[in-house]
Amino acid sequence: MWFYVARRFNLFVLTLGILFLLVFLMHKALPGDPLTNLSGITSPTFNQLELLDEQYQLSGSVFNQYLGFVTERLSGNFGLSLTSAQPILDEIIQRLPATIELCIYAMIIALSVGIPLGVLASFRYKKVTDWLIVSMSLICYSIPIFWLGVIGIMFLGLEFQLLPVAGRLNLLFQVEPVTGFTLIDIMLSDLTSKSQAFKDAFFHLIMPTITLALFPVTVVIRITRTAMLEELNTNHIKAAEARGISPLIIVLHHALPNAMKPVLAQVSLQLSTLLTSAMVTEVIFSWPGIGTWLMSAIYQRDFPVISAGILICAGLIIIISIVSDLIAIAATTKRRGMHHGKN
Amino acid sequence: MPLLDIRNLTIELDTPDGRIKAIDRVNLSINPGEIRGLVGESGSGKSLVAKAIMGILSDRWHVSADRLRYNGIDLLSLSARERRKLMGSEIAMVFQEPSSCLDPNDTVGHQLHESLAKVSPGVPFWQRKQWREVRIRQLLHKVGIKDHLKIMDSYPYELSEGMCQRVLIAMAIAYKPRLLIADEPTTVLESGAQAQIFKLFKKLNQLNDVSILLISHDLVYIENWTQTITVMYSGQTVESGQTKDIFQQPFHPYTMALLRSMPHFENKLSHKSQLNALSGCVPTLQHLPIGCRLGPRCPNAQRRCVEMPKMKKARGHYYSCHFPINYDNAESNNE
Amino acid sequence: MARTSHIYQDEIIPSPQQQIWRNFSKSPVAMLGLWVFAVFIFISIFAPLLAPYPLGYQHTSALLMPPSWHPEGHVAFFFGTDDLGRDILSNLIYGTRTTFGASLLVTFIALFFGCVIGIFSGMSHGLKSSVLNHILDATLAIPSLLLAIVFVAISGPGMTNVMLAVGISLTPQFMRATHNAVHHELSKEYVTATKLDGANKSQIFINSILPNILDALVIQITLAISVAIIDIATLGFLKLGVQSPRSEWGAMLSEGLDLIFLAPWNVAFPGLMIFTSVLSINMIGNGLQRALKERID
Repeated sequence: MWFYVARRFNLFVLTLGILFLLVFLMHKALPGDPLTNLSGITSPTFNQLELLDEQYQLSGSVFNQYLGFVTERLSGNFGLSLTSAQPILDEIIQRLPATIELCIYAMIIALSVGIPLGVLASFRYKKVTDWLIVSMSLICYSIPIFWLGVIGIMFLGLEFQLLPVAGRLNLLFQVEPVTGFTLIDIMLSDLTSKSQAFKDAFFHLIMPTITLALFPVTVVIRITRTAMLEELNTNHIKAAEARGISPLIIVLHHALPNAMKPVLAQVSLQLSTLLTSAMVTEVIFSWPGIGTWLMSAIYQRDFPVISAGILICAGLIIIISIVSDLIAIAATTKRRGMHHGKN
Repeated sequence: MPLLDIRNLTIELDTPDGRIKAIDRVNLSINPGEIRGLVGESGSGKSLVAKAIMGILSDRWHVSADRLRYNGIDLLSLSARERRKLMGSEIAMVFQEPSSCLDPNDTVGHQLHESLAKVSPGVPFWQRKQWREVRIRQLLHKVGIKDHLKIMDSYPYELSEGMCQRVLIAMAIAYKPRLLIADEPTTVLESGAQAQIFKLFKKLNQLNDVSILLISHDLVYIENWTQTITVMYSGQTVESGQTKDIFQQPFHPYTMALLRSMPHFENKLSHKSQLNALSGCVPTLQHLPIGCRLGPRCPNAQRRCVEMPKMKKARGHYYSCHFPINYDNAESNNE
Repeated sequence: MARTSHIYQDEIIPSPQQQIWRNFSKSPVAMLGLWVFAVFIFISIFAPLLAPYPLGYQHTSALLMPPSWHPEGHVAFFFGTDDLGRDILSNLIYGTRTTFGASLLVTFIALFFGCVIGIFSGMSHGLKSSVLNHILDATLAIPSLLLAIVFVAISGPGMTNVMLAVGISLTPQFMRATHNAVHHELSKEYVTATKLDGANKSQIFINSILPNILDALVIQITLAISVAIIDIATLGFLKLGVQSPRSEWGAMLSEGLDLIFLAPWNVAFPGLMIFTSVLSINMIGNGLQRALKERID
């Protein structure tokens, strides 16, 4: 098992290296002064110039420049933002939890709604329920996420005034950002009207989360259904049926664990789509996360922010997919033995 | 009263070319305490009959019968839940490939516990687990597994096929069934394990009064271990009766061909001579002959064989053929 | 006494492609998807002949007219006009070329490159395969939006950048799908049998593997087309794509966003077009998956 972990770690390091390389090459192609693009300081003084030269190895060969770039970024120095002159790292730390909160809630909804529906569809294979679930998931899979968000705003927000359309929390409530997750922060703070603030934050969360979760739900339904159908046709399930074991135990204990493996594998593949959808959702609902920050950076040509954003987003995706890989391996080595560990 | 009574069982399959009768009016009956063999080539539909009795066929197959009764209970009229209850308490089945019938992600011990979960009469629930452990130990010893702790802790892929088959039989007899259906239980096993499994069946039959339906294509074992047999060809019953009678004096040409095809190495075979077998091969489902399905291959076939022959009885020995062989001898022996 | 085969009538067993088509055409949903897809292709080829008005032509006298079935609407502007007086129907028809046509083009280019690389990496072993795998994983982690951002940051917004970004983000998916499919086939026993017969690598590939991965590839193509359409529309929505006067469905939607209360048809119709085109592809993909599964059953 440790051999497999070492392989995964090796892959992780290499992938990060390639990611840094791509961003580094992008920096070479950007218009404007390379020093400004790397550090965010518009008119550096002589001392600063020397410091920057040493940090980023600008007088050395291309390989040295690459190494300098990597060391700087890995030590947390992302430079200053061209528009706000604040250290980019602080801005990231401020804004990242909002996006992660949205993504986590959306994934939870996707899994907790998608898996039971997929199992139900596989049970009633080729009957009305199955057909209904499959058609609904097909339709929901085809709706573009921004259209859904806009229609949601139009109807639920404006026409019927049921849900708020923008932001995370009503400005009346001042909540200290401890973890960055609004719901947890409200619980931790000592506001007088805690339950009201909680309700308000919850309502703000509903529309963006559901908009973001719709696409993953359909993917999870489809994959669970296919995996369950395959599982239910295997010999050992039929033999268990012949022994008279109740179908509930068969599904929960024998069929579902095997069927979950492709689902979880697909989930980690969907991470990059999820991030893109999250960024679009943030733009529509004015959710203060990484997406809105990056988009405004694009319109304003704030290059240090753009490169930092790419590094953070892609780096996060790589880390999460490696971690989920490792979890999947750890959960199944016990049963399969090392003989089946393949790349 | 027979324990299992099947009359005119027909199993049909929906294909793009229409409905095909895979099993055509099969008759079978098992008395309590009897070991019955179901013999036929591969493709004759023996497994289909077994699965139809257990009720685990998929929706594509349509089962209909004049009588499909177990102990007087009509199996076709049962709901899924009642059927499952019956399967969990009275009928047991053992399959062909033992290692694929166990969940690969679960220890054998856990699966054994699971199959015993419903069988704990009168035991208070805090003692149930212990009772189950004791019972599992007894079962495993009964099927011939001595080192039960090691077996219980292992996963199915770690055990040999013979071991897996024994575990499956242990699971099957855990709830003391009255009928055990064994679908080619020893085809994938080596001959040492085969002999052990058959001895186990015999023991179960004699000591626990379990009736066994033994499905196989190996005539040597059928001859040694069964009391009555039914011979099937391409979905139709061809002959049925006491094993000794049939092996001594088969009435149906197919049974004769089967018996002749068993190589007897006492007589010297001449160099490069052909083995005895019927010409041609089993018809595919798309090209089933009308009437008696052996027609195109049978050495005695005549025009009348286009009609399906009725099942006739002669001294407890059933056969369905218009022109049975050895019949005159039997008639003359009768008189 | 076995007679010759004249007893049985001639049985025509359809080839796998015919079987798949037969299963596919049995499903009305899939056929509907196919027809709608064909209509979209027709529109995108013959756009200039079909659109009532030329591209980006502003009718200053008819700003923000509602669709023709509305009491204030006019049949000359079938779907209404936007705030600059441009006819929505014409813009939608021209937009088919940009969104739909571009996505097809991008998919097929990504298909070509992805398949070639995927086949090479699937057929190779050892170091070459590892290296390719690692590069593949690295590129898979970067979402198409970020890539588009990179290109836009370097050389400004425009359709070529969007197509480049979407194409580069689709290629790893094809690489991975082809690689997995080829690997899966290579481990099967009939390929080992061909190897034992003495076939060299390219013979094994052309005769044994290629016909059997076509199924998985076709399904991947339909998935990729739907992803491409949504990606291009999303990038257009974020104003990273084409600029006026060329129209694109996503861009039209974002332009209509400010007027959503006054003139909801600006938002509804482009969204409807995106939805319909993606739905038709997905119906085709679904029908194909079912047809392939039924053939194996």
